[in-house]
Amino acid sequence: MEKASQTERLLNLVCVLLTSEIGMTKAELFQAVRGYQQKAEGNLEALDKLFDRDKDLIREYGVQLVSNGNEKKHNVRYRIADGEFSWPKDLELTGRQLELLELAAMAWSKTSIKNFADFGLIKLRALGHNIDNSIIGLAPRITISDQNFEILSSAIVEKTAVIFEYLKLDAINPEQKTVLPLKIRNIEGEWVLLAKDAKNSKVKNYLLRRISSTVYSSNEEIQISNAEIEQAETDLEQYIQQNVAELWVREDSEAEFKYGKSGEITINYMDEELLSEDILDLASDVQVISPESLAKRVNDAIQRVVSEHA
Amino acid sequence: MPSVKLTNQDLFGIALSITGYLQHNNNEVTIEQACEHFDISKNQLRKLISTLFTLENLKTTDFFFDFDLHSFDNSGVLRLNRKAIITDPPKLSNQQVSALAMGLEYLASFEGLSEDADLNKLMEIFGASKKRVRKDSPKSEKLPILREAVARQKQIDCDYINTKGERARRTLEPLRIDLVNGVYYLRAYCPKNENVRSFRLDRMNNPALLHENVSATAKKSLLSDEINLPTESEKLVEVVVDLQAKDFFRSFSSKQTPKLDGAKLTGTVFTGDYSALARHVIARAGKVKVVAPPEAVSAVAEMARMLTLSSPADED
Repeated sequence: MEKASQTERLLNLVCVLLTSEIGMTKAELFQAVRGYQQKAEGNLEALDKLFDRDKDLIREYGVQLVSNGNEKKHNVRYRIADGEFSWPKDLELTGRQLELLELAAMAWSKTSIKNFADFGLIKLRALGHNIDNSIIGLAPRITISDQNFEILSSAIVEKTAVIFEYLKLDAINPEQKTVLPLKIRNIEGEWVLLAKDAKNSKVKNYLLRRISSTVYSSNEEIQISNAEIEQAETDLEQYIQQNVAELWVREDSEAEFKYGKSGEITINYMDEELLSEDILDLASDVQVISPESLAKRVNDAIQRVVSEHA
Repeated sequence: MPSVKLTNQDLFGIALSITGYLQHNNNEVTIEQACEHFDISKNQLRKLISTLFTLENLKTTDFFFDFDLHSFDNSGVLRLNRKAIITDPPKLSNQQVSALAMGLEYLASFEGLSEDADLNKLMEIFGASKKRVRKDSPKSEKLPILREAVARQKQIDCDYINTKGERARRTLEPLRIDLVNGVYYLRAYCPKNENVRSFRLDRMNNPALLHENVSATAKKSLLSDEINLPTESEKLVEVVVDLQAKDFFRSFSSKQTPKLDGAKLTGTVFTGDYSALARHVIARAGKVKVVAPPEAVSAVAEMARMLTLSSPADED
């Protein structure tokens, strides 16, 4: 008989488990699912390893495979979680909504998050309607070069605390932070983590680029309410509204293209360092009028570049 | 017909979803409909159906998917002879919901989509949070014109300042609007350079629709996801970059992944123009150092010195 492929074996495993009312042990599954005996050729240790890999893959593919105990033990029973294949009766997605979801999934390029989004989309597509093709020519793209992004995304989903080193604005040495990550958002082109700090119980925003270490998970228990999250988001918006810079923009310059006007203009900003980098990009067309700290930051940066390349 | 090779994960997902799709379509769709729906070829679909058809519980000899293979092969119709064990696709996992929610949030930052009723409904379903979109940004005036140009396949002309700081009125053949990590680019065929390039919207002004349609050449041009592709005339530059400024590498094409050396990344990037490189280096406020070649180092120093001269500390 032809050997079952890995995909065939995984599908068979899911189907066999779906027909079982009380779940099945490993030994029962090895008897019922084609592929195990052939693949392991009687080697029990190899069979166990193969089954462990299959369990991981099924879970990674987003199917809720659950068990009733310690999975290292042989008598533990496995089953597919109740309701895993039943959707809310009133959930109906239009073709255009599916098109928007496809665009949302497309945004993730070359990350494991893309795999999650793509696989989710396959399931949603099966709910019926054909995808519209009405939103023409838009291509959102998120290219993440920061390995911490995916670790933090997983921690948000799993609601687990994390530890990392964070270099605050103008600080010389990083501080260790233990936080409960809540959201990652792209604000003005920058990835910002919203998280609750275990030390002072405050919900704060952290720029991903200032996380100076690898992010690790922590056992710390941190509680959070929706009201706290909403307040923190409102606070950030208010903070941006309060931060006002006055700039002088050269007429008919690239800076005028960017800011939409020339002469003296005012803009709001989230972070002085990020704004200074924007200004440095257009430094021959923009001068800082206020605040003084921003003007100094820009001038210091230029001097630093001169001395480093002298 | 799709030519992309399906991964095992794709096959697994489609296999678990296909009977749900049939169930939602009264147990009968044409092969063409199913192929289009799941973006797979007829051969891939046939193979998948055959695989599902053979799945069984070896102990009970129950088969799980009784597809009508005769009607598939002779009438071009996909249907089941009896109800399958799976009548709906599996539910979304938390990771899948989260990935789609974040994608939707990002999509909502596209000006013009933030108020979209369908998008807002989806964001509600997926628990995505709405965010503030500045409606008064200069991009607000440019985007509708560019979107119209892409949709109607019309050429445009616009003022554009390239990375060398050269300004010109350019004629472009728009193909797509990209929002890459919060930065808008128009991907367009440039008749002058005879290739597809990326044009940053914040370096563009006064775009206007032209009567001319986008040419067949432009439509055929390959749309790559890479914003920066090396060309033969580009020069290799060695850089040392603080971890905080690692996004610097995204602004250039590179054939190697930067190496971590303590708290710094060392690597090489391609640039066609040292003045464009200098701009990027200066914008990173001293977090990027050009190491070689000497001409590139001098170009950065020269441009930075010019800036110190243009803004004297004692200016009245």
